[in-house]
Amino acid sequence: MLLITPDTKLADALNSNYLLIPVVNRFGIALGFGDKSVEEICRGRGINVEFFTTILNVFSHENYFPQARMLNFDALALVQYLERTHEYYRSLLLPQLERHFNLLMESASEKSKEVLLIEKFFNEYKNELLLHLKREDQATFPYIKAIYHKQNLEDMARRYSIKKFEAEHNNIDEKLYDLKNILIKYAHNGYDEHLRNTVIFDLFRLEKDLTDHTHIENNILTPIVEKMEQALFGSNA
Amino acid sequence: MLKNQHIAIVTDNGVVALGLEALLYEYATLTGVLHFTTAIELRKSTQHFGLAFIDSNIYVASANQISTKNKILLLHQAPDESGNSLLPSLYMHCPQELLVKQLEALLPIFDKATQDNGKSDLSDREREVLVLVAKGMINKEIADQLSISLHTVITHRKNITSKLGIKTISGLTIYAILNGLITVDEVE
Ligand SMILES: [Fe+2]
Ligand SMILES: [Fe+2]
Repeated sequence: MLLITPDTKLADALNSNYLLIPVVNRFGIALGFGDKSVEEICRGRGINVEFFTTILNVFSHENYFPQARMLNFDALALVQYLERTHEYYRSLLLPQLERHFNLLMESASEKSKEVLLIEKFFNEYKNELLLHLKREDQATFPYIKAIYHKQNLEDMARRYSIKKFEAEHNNIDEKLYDLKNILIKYAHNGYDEHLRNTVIFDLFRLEKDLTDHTHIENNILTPIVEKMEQALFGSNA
Repeated sequence: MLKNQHIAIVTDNGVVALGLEALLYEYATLTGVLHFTTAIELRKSTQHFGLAFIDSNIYVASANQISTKNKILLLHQAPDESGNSLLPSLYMHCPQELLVKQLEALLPIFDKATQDNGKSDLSDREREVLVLVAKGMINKEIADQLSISLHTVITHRKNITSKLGIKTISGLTIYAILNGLITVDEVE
């Protein structure tokens, strides 16, 4: 897969890895930009080119993770990116998955024990994911934005810290992994095979995106905020 | 690599067979190397082979004699005679160090394949542990119940997860119910 640089044509980057398309959307970039380079597109929209290219490369290349460089990212830009990613999960990927999943379950030859168990498992997962996103949207991100703007610092420091985030932040992709394998290896209740494939594709996409997202939260966002806290509250924060 | 496995070499070139055997003993812990000069001899052998090196000409001439159960590595004279490029191949007409490099790259593929073959099903013990996990027991309780150490329980759980491709307790519970290991009522 293409290593993306500021003078790569964005269209070439998306051709080399179509899974980047929703990532690009998250930056507010709609398709139809012709042969413009990454840099031209970013400049026109006030997006930091380095931030943008790094996020795309991290997403595309498994072993690409220039942590030292990423630690200089702007915390606010990062939080905004993560928030948009949540929005993408909540309003697009998850509803789509759910729609396909429900169709798949309806396609089963009978409403068997298997169907009921898998439905229950799916709903548990969905709620877990929504709760995870909500917690970050309502506690973690507002806290980071507040200390970024140096608002209500004392109050904020009393209520939350990035240590707290580290302690409560869990891997949200384990059940997803299980569901994928249950559908690939074990479910055999006469489902529509095309629908089954569609659901499995959705699951792989969500898993890939979430893994990348969590990786950024744990290894970039957390150390950046730790550094901010130290500068604001001293080392005993 | 290829630990404790028998290897077959099928070629009518005695020098190749002896040279290859010598190389293999240097790079793998084998149980034995058996030589054959035709595909029919190989088929008639009752031995199970971890890997069979087969001369590409013999393979092309008598592929129908060779069981698809065999893990096959073709012996080619040179890279350009690529009639069966779908199968992993060893190109013999090259200096010794290149030969060694090729072997080092090829043998792990088969090692992986044999490992995967071995881990198809849960062992009886793993099944017992799985049932208790699905019933909602924690590791300590499982260790007490089965009179094994906590460490052993953890090892079993790791193996169960990697064999089944399921990590979470609720996922394992579904597996156990779907496979008749427990009933829905037994789950708390
Ligand atoms: Fe998140
Ligand atoms: Fe998260």
